[in-house]
Amino acid sequence: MSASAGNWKIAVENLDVFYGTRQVLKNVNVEAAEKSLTCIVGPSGCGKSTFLMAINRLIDEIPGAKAKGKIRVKLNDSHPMDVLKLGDDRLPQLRRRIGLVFQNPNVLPMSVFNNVAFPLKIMRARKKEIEEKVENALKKVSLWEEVRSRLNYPARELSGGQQQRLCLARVLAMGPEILLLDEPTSFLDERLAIKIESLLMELKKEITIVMVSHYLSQVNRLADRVYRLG
Amino acid sequence: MNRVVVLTIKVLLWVTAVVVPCFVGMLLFFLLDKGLPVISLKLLFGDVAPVKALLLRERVFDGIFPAMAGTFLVVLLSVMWAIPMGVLSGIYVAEFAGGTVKKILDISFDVLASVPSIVIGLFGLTLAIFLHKNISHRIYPCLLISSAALAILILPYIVRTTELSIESVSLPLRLAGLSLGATKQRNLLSVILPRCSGGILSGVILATGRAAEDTAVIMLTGVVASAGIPHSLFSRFEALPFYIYYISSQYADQYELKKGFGAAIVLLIITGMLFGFAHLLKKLVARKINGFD
Repeated sequence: MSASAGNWKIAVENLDVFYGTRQVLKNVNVEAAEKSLTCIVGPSGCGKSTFLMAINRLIDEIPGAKAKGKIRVKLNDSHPMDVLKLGDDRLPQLRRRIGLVFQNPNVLPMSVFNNVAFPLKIMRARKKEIEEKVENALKKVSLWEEVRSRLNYPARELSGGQQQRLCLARVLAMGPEILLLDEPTSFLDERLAIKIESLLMELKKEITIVMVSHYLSQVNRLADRVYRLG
Repeated sequence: MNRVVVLTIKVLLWVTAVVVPCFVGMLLFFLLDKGLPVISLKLLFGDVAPVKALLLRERVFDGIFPAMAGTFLVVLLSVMWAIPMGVLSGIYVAEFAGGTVKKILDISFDVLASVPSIVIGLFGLTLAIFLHKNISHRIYPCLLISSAALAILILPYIVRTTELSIESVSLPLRLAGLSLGATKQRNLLSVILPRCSGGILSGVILATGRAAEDTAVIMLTGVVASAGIPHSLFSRFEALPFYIYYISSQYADQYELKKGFGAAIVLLIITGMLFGFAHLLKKLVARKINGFD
């Protein structure tokens, strides 16, 4: 599909990804429209998570991984760019604008508060601003009431579902333009999964979301466009 | 698997698990049996009043207090050399060194770790002679040279534990910080090092224990049987391991030999306290940072 037509935010063209000599993704073409939710589906091990990590170049941090092709992204205040051609020095900035939530919650070895505040501190936000954004982000993911009295506790002490929402809150606090979600509700019960789905429905009015999901019903409810890998 | 083989393996595992504590128990029993009767303030301070000795108002000739102070000072100085160098080298090897450089450095530190301590002692002695001839005739084997040589001895332990601790941090955790826009340096300081600080700390304290018990290095680089408390970095000094070695080979009567056993118990207590301190610190750091041990 050509990236020149349409209201695209991300246009992936002929993407190949290798782990050493093993090819994980072959000739992948995906286009995600601005302020929409694009779902990526496919069998386990087909490279869905790898695909997400290629978009914000996190793949570079995996030893032996290599991506070829084009991943064009239109960020608000810049011309369309091929992220695969970006210099290493620009990657931290890129990753702050293209937030990624992993499938397995990977909380940082610090308190609940500091987990959400971490990206804000990197961006040198003021203390007051950090406090406000942390609270807002935790409220968005329906976690504030559960952790407000435990903000200084180690994040590891939270349950799996709470950790997953904490990781989502952490990325939302950054205010990304693009949100990459890898199975964002896999650790949540039905009630919370519905809450997060509602949140995503709201978020896609403002930002572009690319989501990997195994749940067909969820894909049907949320996706504006679906791509199958593998 | 054959039931007999499984049973044999189980018995062997059980026996080996029991043998080690048995040996440790026997060693401790032997040491306590011989040394406990002489443990007293007299062993530490001789005929000098403890307060006067501690305030350095009177020199202790007949007690092990100067050796304890010497051990403390030489270990303190050596870790002051070794910790910054070792931890920074470990970080460099784990995080920044490329393929070939990393291999060369890994081999170098492994070789250094396998160098016998007497060889490092000889190196220290050679260094002292070199400095004496080329820098100042006032430089002899002393506290400073000893601590530098001990630092070389313990350096590979600190480098390796730091390197292994950093490398043991899981990929998902490494990616977490980076995915939030942290630079590699920031990720290292804020995520990776706090996560593995317990492991690094253990390595540092084990290395400290190693420095406290070594005799060969200090024997060639500045320790003497009776020097009192060292007054400067260029003074000779006493140390507990050397005192134990010296008294066990030169004792005049049974009481002197028993004093050697007493000194061995004191050295064991000091190193035991170091390990206890390390364990406590490791637990505290792990609990504070990670919320788990």
